[in-house]
Amino acid sequence: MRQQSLRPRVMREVARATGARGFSTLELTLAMPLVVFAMLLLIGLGHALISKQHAVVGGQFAAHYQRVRESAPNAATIGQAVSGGAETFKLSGGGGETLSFTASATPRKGLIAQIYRLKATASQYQTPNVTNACVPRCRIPIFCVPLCKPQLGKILSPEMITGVIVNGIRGSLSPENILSTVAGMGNKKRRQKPEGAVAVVPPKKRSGNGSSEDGSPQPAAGGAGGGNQPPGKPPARTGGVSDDGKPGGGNSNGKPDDGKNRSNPTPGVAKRPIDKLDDWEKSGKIRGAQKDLDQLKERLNSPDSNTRRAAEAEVEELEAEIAAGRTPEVRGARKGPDQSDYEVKARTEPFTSRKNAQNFLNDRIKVANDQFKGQNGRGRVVINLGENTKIGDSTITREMARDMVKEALSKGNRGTNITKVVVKDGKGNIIYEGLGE
Amino acid sequence: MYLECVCGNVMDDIAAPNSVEHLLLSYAAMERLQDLVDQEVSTNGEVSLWPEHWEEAGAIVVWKCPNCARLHLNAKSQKEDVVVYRIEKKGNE
Repeated sequence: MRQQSLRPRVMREVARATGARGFSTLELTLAMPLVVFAMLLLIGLGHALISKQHAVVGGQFAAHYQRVRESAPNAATIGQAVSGGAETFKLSGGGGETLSFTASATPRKGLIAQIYRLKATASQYQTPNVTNACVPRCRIPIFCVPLCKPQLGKILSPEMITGVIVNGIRGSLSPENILSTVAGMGNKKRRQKPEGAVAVVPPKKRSGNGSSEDGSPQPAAGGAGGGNQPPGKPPARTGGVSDDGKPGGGNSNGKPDDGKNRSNPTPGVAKRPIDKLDDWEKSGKIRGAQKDLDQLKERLNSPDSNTRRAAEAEVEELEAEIAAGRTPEVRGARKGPDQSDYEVKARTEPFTSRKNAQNFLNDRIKVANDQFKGQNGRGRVVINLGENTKIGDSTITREMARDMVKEALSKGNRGTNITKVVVKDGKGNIIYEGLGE
Repeated sequence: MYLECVCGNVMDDIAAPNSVEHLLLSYAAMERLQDLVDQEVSTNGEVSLWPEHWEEAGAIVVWKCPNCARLHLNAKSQKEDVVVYRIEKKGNE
Protein backbone atom coordinates (compact mmCIF):
# COMPACT_ATOMS: atom_id res chain seq x y z
CA MET A 1 0.00 0.00 0.00
CA ARG A 2 1.36 3.40 -1.02
CA GLN A 3 2.01 5.76 1.80
CA GLN A 4 0.00 8.97 1.58
CA SER A 5 1.91 12.21 1.95
CA LEU A 6 0.51 14.60 4.45
CA ARG A 7 1.43 17.63 2.28
CA PRO A 8 -1.31 18.90 0.03
CA ARG A 9 -1.09 17.82 -3.52
CA VAL A 10 -0.75 21.40 -4.84
CA MET A 11 2.24 22.05 -2.62
CA ARG A 12 3.95 18.90 -3.73
CA GLU A 13 3.45 19.94 -7.31
CA VAL A 14 4.81 23.42 -6.73
CA ALA A 15 7.84 22.02 -4.93
CA ARG A 16 8.52 19.62 -7.74
CA ALA A 17 7.96 22.23 -10.41
CA THR A 18 10.40 24.74 -9.00
CA GLY A 19 12.88 22.29 -7.56
CA ALA A 20 12.86 24.57 -4.58
CA ARG A 21 13.44 22.21 -1.72
CA GLY A 22 15.59 24.23 0.70
CA PHE A 23 14.90 27.41 -1.16
CA SER A 24 13.70 29.15 1.99
CA THR A 25 16.89 28.13 3.83
CA LEU A 26 19.04 29.55 1.06
CA GLU A 27 17.02 32.70 0.98
CA LEU A 28 17.29 33.12 4.72
CA THR A 29 21.03 32.52 4.60
CA LEU A 30 21.47 35.11 1.88
CA ALA A 31 19.28 37.54 3.75
CA MET A 32 21.06 36.96 7.07
CA PRO A 33 23.40 39.98 6.76
CA LEU A 34 20.40 42.15 6.03
CA VAL A 35 18.55 40.74 9.03
CA VAL A 36 21.56 41.26 11.27
CA PHE A 37 22.01 44.78 9.95
CA ALA A 38 18.35 45.55 10.58
CA MET A 39 18.56 44.18 14.09
CA LEU A 40 21.68 46.20 14.85
CA LEU A 41 20.07 49.28 13.39
CA LEU A 42 17.01 48.80 15.55
CA ILE A 43 19.13 48.22 18.64
CA GLY A 44 21.17 51.31 17.82
CA LEU A 45 18.06 53.40 17.29
CA GLY A 46 16.66 52.09 20.53
CA HIS A 47 19.78 53.10 22.41
CA ALA A 48 19.79 56.50 20.76
CA LEU A 49 16.19 56.99 21.84
CA ILE A 50 17.05 55.92 25.38
CA SER A 51 19.91 58.42 25.52
CA LYS A 52 17.65 61.09 24.08
CA GLN A 53 15.00 60.39 26.68
CA HIS A 54 17.61 60.44 29.42
CA ALA A 55 18.74 63.85 28.20
CA VAL A 56 15.14 65.10 28.27
CA VAL A 57 14.71 63.85 31.81
CA GLY A 58 18.09 65.34 32.75
CA GLY A 59 17.06 68.75 31.43
CA GLN A 60 13.72 68.50 33.19
CA PHE A 61 15.40 67.46 36.41
CA ALA A 62 17.85 70.36 36.20
CA ALA A 63 15.14 72.93 35.50
CA HIS A 64 12.97 71.82 38.42
CA TYR A 65 15.96 71.45 40.71
CA GLN A 66 16.95 75.03 39.90
CA ARG A 67 13.37 76.23 40.36
CA VAL A 68 12.95 74.61 43.74
CA ARG A 69 16.44 74.86 45.22
CA GLU A 70 17.48 78.03 43.41
CA SER A 71 20.75 76.50 42.32
CA ALA A 72 21.47 74.20 39.46
CA PRO A 73 22.49 70.60 40.09
CA ASN A 74 25.80 69.40 38.78
CA ALA A 75 26.00 67.17 35.75
CA ALA A 76 27.34 64.19 37.72
CA THR A 77 24.29 64.18 39.98
CA ILE A 78 22.03 64.18 36.96
CA GLY A 79 24.02 61.34 35.41
CA GLN A 80 23.63 59.28 38.58
CA ALA A 81 19.95 60.07 38.96
CA VAL A 82 18.94 59.53 35.36
CA SER A 83 21.03 56.64 34.14
CA GLY A 84 23.04 55.42 37.11
CA GLY A 85 26.25 56.75 35.58
CA ALA A 86 25.84 54.89 32.29
CA GLU A 87 26.07 58.15 30.41
CA THR A 88 28.25 61.18 30.72
CA PHE A 89 26.10 64.24 31.14
CA LYS A 90 26.83 67.82 30.30
CA LEU A 91 24.55 70.55 31.48
CA SER A 92 24.22 74.15 30.46
CA GLY A 93 21.60 76.75 30.98
CA GLY A 94 19.90 78.73 33.66
CA GLY A 95 17.85 81.85 33.35
CA GLY A 96 15.68 84.32 35.15
CA GLU A 97 11.98 84.29 34.40
CA THR A 98 12.27 81.23 32.20
CA LEU A 99 14.57 78.43 33.16
CA SER A 100 16.13 76.73 30.20
CA PHE A 101 18.48 73.80 30.53
CA THR A 102 20.18 71.79 27.84
CA ALA A 103 21.36 68.35 28.89
CA SER A 104 23.49 66.21 26.63
CA ALA A 105 24.11 62.55 27.33
CA THR A 106 26.98 60.55 25.87
CA PRO A 107 26.79 56.77 26.37
CA ARG A 108 29.93 55.43 27.94
CA LYS A 109 29.04 51.86 28.80
CA GLY A 110 29.02 48.99 26.34
CA LEU A 111 31.40 47.75 23.68
CA ILE A 112 30.37 50.19 20.96
CA ALA A 113 30.56 53.18 23.24
CA GLN A 114 34.07 52.17 24.21
CA ILE A 115 35.27 51.50 20.68
CA TYR A 116 33.62 54.37 18.85
CA ARG A 117 33.30 57.95 19.89
CA LEU A 118 29.56 58.33 20.06
CA LYS A 119 27.99 61.72 19.72
CA ALA A 120 26.02 63.15 22.58
CA THR A 121 22.26 63.49 22.35
CA ALA A 122 21.08 66.85 23.54
CA SER A 123 17.70 67.89 24.80
CA GLN A 124 16.50 71.20 26.05
CA TYR A 125 13.82 71.81 28.62
CA GLN A 126 12.21 75.11 29.46
CA THR A 127 9.96 75.98 32.32
CA PRO A 128 8.73 79.21 33.88
CA ASN A 129 10.64 80.06 37.03
CA VAL A 130 7.57 79.83 39.27
CA THR A 131 7.75 78.92 42.91
CA ASN A 132 4.19 79.76 43.86
CA ALA A 133 2.26 76.55 44.26
CA CYS A 134 -1.18 77.89 44.96
CA VAL A 135 -3.09 76.56 41.99
CA PRO A 136 -6.45 78.21 41.58
CA ARG A 137 -9.18 75.63 41.29
CA CYS A 138 -12.38 77.03 40.02
CA ARG A 139 -15.52 75.00 40.15
CA ILE A 140 -17.44 78.20 39.63
CA PRO A 141 -15.39 80.64 37.52
CA ILE A 142 -16.18 83.57 39.84
CA PHE A 143 -14.90 81.98 43.02
CA CYS A 144 -11.38 80.88 42.32
CA VAL A 145 -9.86 79.82 45.60
CA PRO A 146 -6.16 79.10 45.63
CA LEU A 147 -5.71 75.53 46.78
CA CYS A 148 -2.50 75.39 48.72
CA LYS A 149 -3.23 72.64 51.16
CA PRO A 150 -0.83 69.81 50.60
CA GLN A 151 -2.54 66.60 49.81
CA LEU A 152 -0.63 63.84 51.52
CA GLY A 153 -2.11 61.21 49.29
CA LYS A 154 -0.61 62.88 46.27
CA ILE A 155 2.64 63.79 47.95
CA LEU A 156 3.38 60.25 49.07
CA SER A 157 2.30 58.63 45.85
CA PRO A 158 3.79 55.24 45.00
CA GLU A 159 5.67 56.88 42.11
CA MET A 160 7.28 59.42 44.40
CA ILE A 161 8.29 56.81 46.96
CA THR A 162 9.65 54.55 44.24
CA GLY A 163 11.59 57.46 42.76
CA VAL A 164 13.12 58.35 46.10
CA ILE A 165 14.12 54.75 46.81
CA VAL A 166 15.55 54.19 43.33
CA ASN A 167 17.49 57.45 43.39
CA GLY A 168 18.67 56.73 46.89
CA ILE A 169 19.93 53.29 45.90
CA ARG A 170 21.71 54.72 42.89
CA GLY A 171 23.56 57.00 45.23
CA SER A 172 22.34 60.34 43.94
CA LEU A 173 20.61 61.16 47.19
CA SER A 174 22.06 60.92 50.62
CA PRO A 175 19.84 59.59 53.42
CA GLU A 176 19.49 63.18 54.66
CA ASN A 177 18.34 64.30 51.26
CA ILE A 178 15.80 61.49 51.01
CA LEU A 179 14.40 62.40 54.40
CA SER A 180 14.34 66.08 53.58
CA THR A 181 12.67 65.32 50.28
CA VAL A 182 9.90 63.35 51.94
CA ALA A 183 9.58 65.56 55.01
CA GLY A 184 9.77 68.78 53.06
CA MET A 185 7.21 67.92 50.45
CA GLY A 186 4.31 68.83 52.64
CA ASN A 187 5.80 72.21 53.47
CA LYS A 188 6.48 73.30 49.95
CA LYS A 189 3.48 74.94 48.45
CA ARG A 190 4.34 74.84 44.83
CA ARG A 191 3.10 73.37 41.67
CA GLN A 192 5.48 70.69 40.58
CA LYS A 193 4.65 71.10 36.95
CA PRO A 194 3.75 74.67 36.08
CA GLU A 195 1.98 75.55 32.90
CA GLY A 196 4.27 76.13 30.02
CA ALA A 197 6.83 73.52 31.01
CA VAL A 198 7.83 71.98 27.74
CA ALA A 199 10.58 69.86 26.31
CA VAL A 200 11.80 71.62 23.22
CA VAL A 201 13.80 70.50 20.24
CA PRO A 202 17.51 71.11 20.82
CA PRO A 203 18.87 73.91 18.72
CA LYS A 204 21.08 73.23 15.77
CA LYS A 205 24.39 74.97 15.37
CA ARG A 206 23.78 78.51 14.36
CA SER A 207 25.63 80.76 12.05
CA GLY A 208 26.47 84.28 13.10
CA ASN A 209 23.46 85.83 11.42
CA GLY A 210 21.01 83.93 13.53
CA SER A 211 20.02 81.41 10.88
CA SER A 212 20.12 77.71 11.42
CA GLU A 213 21.95 75.26 9.23
CA ASP A 214 18.86 74.66 7.18
CA GLY A 215 18.41 78.34 6.66
CA SER A 216 15.40 78.77 8.89
CA PRO A 217 15.47 81.77 11.19
CA GLN A 218 16.52 81.19 14.77
CA PRO A 219 16.47 83.37 17.82
CA ALA A 220 19.53 85.53 18.22
CA ALA A 221 22.41 83.74 19.83
CA GLY A 222 23.88 84.93 23.09
CA GLY A 223 26.42 87.67 23.21
CA ALA A 224 30.13 87.30 22.91
CA GLY A 225 31.51 84.93 25.41
CA GLY A 226 28.08 83.76 26.39
CA GLY A 227 28.40 80.40 24.79
CA ASN A 228 27.05 78.62 27.79
CA GLN A 229 23.91 80.63 27.90
CA PRO A 230 20.64 79.16 26.83
CA PRO A 231 19.82 79.75 23.20
CA GLY A 232 18.04 82.94 22.45
CA LYS A 233 18.83 84.37 25.85
CA PRO A 234 21.79 86.69 25.58
CA PRO A 235 23.72 86.99 28.83
CA ALA A 236 23.22 89.98 31.04
CA ARG A 237 26.73 91.14 30.27
CA THR A 238 29.04 90.38 27.47
CA GLY A 239 31.68 87.79 28.02
CA GLY A 240 35.32 88.25 28.56
CA VAL A 241 38.21 88.88 26.33
CA SER A 242 40.83 86.22 26.08
CA ASP A 243 44.57 86.68 26.10
CA ASP A 244 44.64 87.48 22.45
CA GLY A 245 42.02 90.12 22.87
CA LYS A 246 39.22 88.12 21.33
CA PRO A 247 35.93 87.84 23.10
CA GLY A 248 35.54 84.61 24.94
CA GLY A 249 35.67 83.03 28.29
CA GLY A 250 33.11 85.21 29.91
CA ASN A 251 32.60 86.09 33.49
CA SER A 252 29.74 85.73 35.82
CA ASN A 253 29.69 89.26 37.08
CA GLY A 254 26.21 90.58 37.39
CA LYS A 255 24.68 87.28 36.43
CA PRO A 256 22.52 85.26 38.73
CA ASP A 257 24.22 82.32 40.34
CA ASP A 258 23.06 79.63 37.97
CA GLY A 259 25.53 77.12 39.33
CA LYS A 260 26.66 76.02 35.91
CA ASN A 261 30.31 76.68 36.60
CA ARG A 262 30.39 75.28 40.06
CA SER A 263 32.76 72.47 40.75
CA ASN A 264 31.34 68.97 40.93
CA PRO A 265 31.03 67.48 44.36
CA THR A 266 30.88 63.79 45.16
CA PRO A 267 27.18 63.02 44.91
CA GLY A 268 25.51 62.84 48.28
CA VAL A 269 28.73 63.37 50.23
CA ALA A 270 30.50 66.70 50.06
CA LYS A 271 28.84 70.07 49.97
CA ARG A 272 29.85 72.49 47.30
CA PRO A 273 31.85 75.49 48.51
CA ILE A 274 29.05 77.83 47.49
CA ASP A 275 26.53 75.80 49.49
CA LYS A 276 28.82 75.91 52.51
CA LEU A 277 29.06 79.65 52.11
CA ASP A 278 25.26 79.91 51.97
CA ASP A 279 24.97 77.87 55.16
CA TRP A 280 27.56 79.94 57.02
CA GLU A 281 25.91 83.13 55.87
CA LYS A 282 22.51 81.98 57.14
CA SER A 283 23.88 80.73 60.43
CA GLY A 284 26.04 83.81 61.03
CA LYS A 285 29.31 81.90 61.05
CA ILE A 286 30.94 84.41 58.74
CA ARG A 287 30.99 88.17 58.72
CA GLY A 288 31.28 90.65 55.90
CA ALA A 289 29.40 93.06 53.72
CA GLN A 290 26.74 91.55 51.50
CA LYS A 291 28.55 92.89 48.44
CA ASP A 292 31.72 91.05 49.43
CA LEU A 293 29.84 87.81 50.06
CA ASP A 294 28.11 88.11 46.70
CA GLN A 295 31.44 88.73 45.01
CA LEU A 296 32.90 85.62 46.58
CA LYS A 297 29.92 83.62 45.36
CA GLU A 298 30.36 85.04 41.90
CA ARG A 299 33.99 84.03 41.91
CA LEU A 300 33.04 80.52 43.06
CA ASN A 301 30.77 80.38 40.04
CA SER A 302 33.24 81.91 37.63
CA PRO A 303 33.87 80.19 34.28
CA ASP A 304 37.57 81.01 34.75
CA SER A 305 39.10 78.02 36.51
CA ASN A 306 41.84 80.09 38.18
CA THR A 307 39.31 82.49 39.67
CA ARG A 308 37.22 79.55 40.84
CA ARG A 309 40.24 77.79 42.34
CA ALA A 310 41.21 80.97 44.20
CA ALA A 311 37.72 81.36 45.62
CA GLU A 312 37.60 77.70 46.66
CA ALA A 313 40.92 78.04 48.46
CA GLU A 314 39.51 81.04 50.24
CA VAL A 315 36.42 79.09 51.31
CA GLU A 316 38.59 76.20 52.52
CA GLU A 317 40.44 78.63 54.76
CA LEU A 318 37.20 80.14 56.01
CA GLU A 319 36.10 76.61 56.88
CA ALA A 320 39.29 76.05 58.87
CA GLU A 321 38.72 79.31 60.72
CA ILE A 322 35.14 78.36 61.56
CA ALA A 323 36.29 74.93 62.70
CA ALA A 324 38.74 76.69 65.02
CA GLY A 325 35.83 78.53 66.64
CA ARG A 326 36.38 81.88 64.99
CA THR A 327 34.03 84.03 62.91
CA PRO A 328 36.05 85.04 59.86
CA GLU A 329 35.24 88.04 57.76
CA VAL A 330 34.88 87.93 53.99
CA ARG A 331 36.88 90.98 52.99
CA GLY A 332 36.06 91.12 49.31
CA ALA A 333 38.03 93.48 47.13
CA ARG A 334 39.47 95.56 49.92
CA LYS A 335 43.13 96.42 49.80
CA GLY A 336 45.55 94.23 51.69
CA PRO A 337 45.68 90.57 52.61
CA ASP A 338 42.68 88.21 52.52
CA GLN A 339 42.39 88.41 56.31
CA SER A 340 44.17 90.58 58.83
CA ASP A 341 46.23 87.63 60.03
CA TYR A 342 46.57 85.36 57.05
CA GLU A 343 46.96 85.34 53.30
CA VAL A 344 45.95 82.42 51.08
CA LYS A 345 47.84 81.34 47.98
CA ALA A 346 46.79 78.40 45.86
CA ARG A 347 48.50 76.32 43.21
CA THR A 348 46.66 75.75 39.93
CA GLU A 349 49.07 73.55 37.97
CA PRO A 350 51.24 70.52 38.71
CA PHE A 351 54.86 71.26 39.55
CA THR A 352 57.27 70.43 36.77
CA SER A 353 60.36 70.16 38.98
CA ARG A 354 61.68 70.87 42.44
CA LYS A 355 63.06 74.18 41.16
CA ASN A 356 59.63 75.02 39.77
CA ALA A 357 58.07 74.35 43.17
CA GLN A 358 60.78 76.39 44.90
CA ASN A 359 60.25 79.35 42.57
CA PHE A 360 56.50 79.19 43.23
CA LEU A 361 57.02 79.24 46.99
CA ASN A 362 59.60 82.03 46.76
CA ASP A 363 57.27 84.18 44.74
CA ARG A 364 54.06 83.58 46.67
CA ILE A 365 55.68 83.99 50.06
CA LYS A 366 57.23 87.25 48.93
CA VAL A 367 53.91 88.50 47.54
CA ALA A 368 52.15 87.66 50.81
CA ASN A 369 54.91 89.31 52.78
CA ASP A 370 54.60 92.49 50.70
CA GLN A 371 50.87 92.53 51.35
CA PHE A 372 51.38 92.31 55.11
CA LYS A 373 54.09 94.97 54.91
CA GLY A 374 51.74 97.28 53.00
CA GLN A 375 49.30 97.09 55.91
CA ASN A 376 51.99 97.24 58.59
CA GLY A 377 50.77 93.86 59.69
CA ARG A 378 52.05 90.35 60.24
CA GLY A 379 50.48 87.00 59.65
CA ARG A 380 50.71 83.53 58.25
CA VAL A 381 50.65 82.57 54.62
CA VAL A 382 48.65 79.50 53.68
CA ILE A 383 49.88 77.70 50.58
CA ASN A 384 47.04 75.50 49.36
CA LEU A 385 48.50 73.04 46.88
CA GLY A 386 45.13 71.57 46.01
CA GLU A 387 45.72 68.38 44.09
CA ASN A 388 49.23 69.41 43.08
CA THR A 389 50.97 67.67 45.93
CA LYS A 390 53.57 65.91 43.80
CA ILE A 391 56.75 66.90 42.06
CA GLY A 392 56.97 64.48 39.21
CA ASP A 393 56.19 61.12 40.79
CA SER A 394 57.26 61.94 44.31
CA THR A 395 54.78 63.27 46.82
CA ILE A 396 55.76 66.44 48.65
CA THR A 397 56.62 65.29 52.15
CA ARG A 398 56.81 67.31 55.33
CA GLU A 399 60.61 67.41 55.05
CA MET A 400 60.54 68.56 51.43
CA ALA A 401 58.05 71.29 52.24
CA ARG A 402 60.09 72.38 55.25
CA ASP A 403 63.30 72.59 53.20
CA MET A 404 61.60 74.59 50.48
CA VAL A 405 60.06 76.99 53.00
CA LYS A 406 63.46 77.38 54.64
CA GLU A 407 65.08 78.09 51.28
CA ALA A 408 62.34 80.58 50.37
CA LEU A 409 62.70 82.50 53.61
CA SER A 410 66.49 82.52 53.57
CA LYS A 411 66.79 85.04 50.73
CA GLY A 412 65.50 88.42 49.68
CA ASN A 413 63.92 89.33 53.04
CA ARG A 414 60.82 87.47 51.90
CA GLY A 415 59.58 86.56 55.34
CA THR A 416 59.97 89.75 57.39
CA ASN A 417 56.25 89.95 58.14
CA ILE A 418 55.38 86.24 57.92
CA THR A 419 54.65 84.51 61.22
CA LYS A 420 54.52 81.05 59.68
CA VAL A 421 54.02 79.28 56.39
CA VAL A 422 51.30 76.62 56.25
CA VAL A 423 51.48 74.20 53.34
CA LYS A 424 48.23 72.28 52.84
CA ASP A 425 46.76 69.83 50.40
CA GLY A 426 43.36 70.22 48.81
CA LYS A 427 41.62 68.30 51.59
CA GLY A 428 42.85 70.70 54.23
CA ASN A 429 45.55 68.38 55.57
CA ILE A 430 48.58 70.31 56.75
CA ILE A 431 51.73 69.04 55.08
CA TYR A 432 53.98 71.47 56.90
CA GLU A 433 53.69 74.57 59.05
CA GLY A 434 56.49 76.67 60.41
CA LEU A 435 59.31 78.87 59.23
CA GLY A 436 61.59 76.15 57.94
CA GLU A 437 63.15 75.41 61.30
CA MET B 1 45.09 90.60 47.40
CA TYR B 2 42.16 91.78 45.33
CA LEU B 3 41.65 94.47 42.76
CA GLU B 4 38.26 95.53 41.47
CA CYS B 5 38.17 96.46 37.82
CA VAL B 6 36.04 99.30 36.46
CA CYS B 7 33.85 96.65 34.84
CA GLY B 8 33.04 95.20 38.27
CA ASN B 9 35.14 92.08 37.97
CA VAL B 10 37.21 91.30 41.05
CA MET B 11 40.71 90.05 40.31
CA ASP B 12 43.01 88.39 42.79
CA ASP B 13 46.44 86.84 43.01
CA ILE B 14 45.43 83.88 45.16
CA ALA B 15 45.63 81.14 42.55
CA ALA B 16 48.86 80.84 40.60
CA PRO B 17 49.95 80.38 37.87
CA ASN B 18 47.17 82.57 36.51
CA SER B 19 46.39 84.71 33.50
CA VAL B 20 45.76 87.90 35.47
CA GLU B 21 49.25 88.80 36.68
CA HIS B 22 51.69 90.03 34.04
CA LEU B 23 55.04 91.75 34.10
CA LEU B 24 55.87 94.61 31.74
CA LEU B 25 59.51 95.10 30.80
CA SER B 26 61.06 97.92 28.86
CA TYR B 27 64.12 97.12 26.79
CA ALA B 28 66.29 98.81 29.40
CA ALA B 29 64.68 96.71 32.14
CA MET B 30 65.21 93.58 30.10
CA GLU B 31 68.94 94.30 29.81
CA ARG B 32 69.16 94.93 33.54
CA LEU B 33 67.42 91.61 34.11
CA GLN B 34 69.86 89.79 31.84
CA ASP B 35 72.79 91.30 33.70
CA LEU B 36 71.35 90.35 37.10
CA VAL B 37 70.68 86.78 36.04
CA ASP B 38 74.08 86.37 34.43
CA GLN B 39 75.74 87.76 37.53
CA GLU B 40 73.92 85.34 39.84
CA VAL B 41 74.60 82.36 37.60
CA SER B 42 78.29 83.19 37.49
CA THR B 43 78.36 83.44 41.30
CA ASN B 44 75.98 80.66 42.45
CA GLY B 45 75.56 78.54 39.35
CA GLU B 46 71.78 79.02 39.36
CA VAL B 47 69.10 81.68 39.69
CA SER B 48 67.20 81.66 42.96
CA LEU B 49 66.20 85.30 43.26
CA TRP B 50 63.42 85.33 40.73
CA PRO B 51 60.92 87.67 42.33
CA GLU B 52 63.73 89.99 43.39
CA HIS B 53 65.32 90.14 39.95
CA TRP B 54 62.08 91.28 38.36
CA GLU B 55 61.75 94.05 40.91
CA GLU B 56 65.36 95.13 40.68
CA ALA B 57 65.22 95.21 36.89
CA GLY B 58 62.23 97.52 37.04
CA ALA B 59 59.47 95.28 35.76
CA ILE B 60 56.01 96.79 36.12
CA VAL B 61 53.30 94.62 37.63
CA VAL B 62 50.29 94.57 35.32
CA TRP B 63 46.98 92.87 36.03
CA LYS B 64 44.77 92.14 33.06
CA CYS B 65 41.07 91.89 33.72
CA PRO B 66 39.83 88.61 32.24
CA ASN B 67 36.40 90.17 31.79
CA CYS B 68 37.15 93.34 29.83
CA ALA B 69 40.91 93.09 29.13
CA ARG B 70 41.66 96.40 30.87
CA LEU B 71 45.27 96.62 32.01
CA HIS B 72 46.02 97.78 35.54
CA LEU B 73 49.59 99.00 35.80
CA ASN B 74 51.25 99.06 39.23
CA ALA B 75 48.46 96.78 40.42
CA LYS B 76 50.14 96.07 43.73
CA SER B 77 50.99 99.67 44.55
CA GLN B 78 48.85 102.16 46.41
CA LYS B 79 45.44 102.82 44.86
CA GLU B 80 46.45 106.25 43.61
CA ASP B 81 49.39 104.76 41.69
CA VAL B 82 47.34 102.24 39.73
CA VAL B 83 46.97 103.27 36.08
CA VAL B 84 44.18 101.68 34.06
CA TYR B 85 44.26 101.22 30.27
CA ARG B 86 41.45 99.88 28.20
CA ILE B 87 41.31 98.73 24.58
CA GLU B 88 40.88 101.72 22.31
CA LYS B 89 40.85 99.98 18.98
CA LYS B 90 41.96 96.77 17.36
CA GLY B 91 43.98 96.58 14.18
CA ASN B 92 46.33 99.18 12.75
CA GLU B 93 44.56 100.56 9.68
